[in-house]
Amino acid sequence: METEKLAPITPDAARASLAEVDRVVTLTRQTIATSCTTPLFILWGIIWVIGFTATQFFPAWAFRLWLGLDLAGIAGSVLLGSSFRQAPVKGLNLGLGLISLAWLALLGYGALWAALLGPWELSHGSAWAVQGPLLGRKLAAFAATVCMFGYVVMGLWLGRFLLWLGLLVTAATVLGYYFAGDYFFIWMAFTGGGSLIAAGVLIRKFWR
Amino acid sequence: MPEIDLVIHTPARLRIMAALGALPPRAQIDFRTLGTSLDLTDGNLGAHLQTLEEAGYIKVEKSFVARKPRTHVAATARGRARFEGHVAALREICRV
Repeated sequence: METEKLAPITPDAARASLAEVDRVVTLTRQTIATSCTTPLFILWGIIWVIGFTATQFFPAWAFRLWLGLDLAGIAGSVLLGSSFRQAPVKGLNLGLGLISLAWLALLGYGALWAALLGPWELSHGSAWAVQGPLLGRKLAAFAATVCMFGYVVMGLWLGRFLLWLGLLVTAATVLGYYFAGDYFFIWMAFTGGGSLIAAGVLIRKFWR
Repeated sequence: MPEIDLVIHTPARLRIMAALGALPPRAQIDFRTLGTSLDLTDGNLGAHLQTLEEAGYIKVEKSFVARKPRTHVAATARGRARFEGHVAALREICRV
């Protein structure tokens, strides 16, 4: 234990110490975020790129494809979640169980609203030829913005980065929905999936 | 009236306590990650951690993860309180 007498601390020295404390606090929070979120961003970004690209070129397979990709994504997220136990920061108790439940609730309600609101009666017979492509785009934009709503809400609690990422991808989705026309799905692959992958890579690179 | 804490006042120990204080309660940070993010060598970090542990400000836990030894560090309730008091004292000095 130190017993020497303390020399007077000047206001400038105190200010410098407080600035250093703020810097270290930010650095530590970024370490926590890096260890927990970047693998998930990259995983779901890859899923979006594959899913939307495949939907663009093989629209008839879209439903089965997304079902498989989403199941693979959920399994991958659970696997990554279990690896958090070996992360550099342990015992975080960020409420990851509650966050998972919140995501399940959000996606469940999203599916329910899509089932209730979608003009599914038009998806049969000859009407499908006219309505199908537009309905597919509507459904994709709806699903993407429901996910981004989750990011925005999480961002209010866990950090502004998630909030801005959610708003950015939402804006890109709306822009693509109205202006990308027949290229909407490939637009989503690049802007939506690309943003998630870029977010994961950038956090990993600059927050280390 | 908050007081400057002589144990925490050393720049390296102030940074260590800032890092540990930023963790949620009961969370622990890996020794190596702490050293890397604070740019401290293992020896230097180990010496400062020992001083903080002797003062009761932190607790050090050694364990095995995948058969490899790992050391995790966390601030104690007393350590967090002393750190907050130290920061409050620095803010008081700034207001003078």
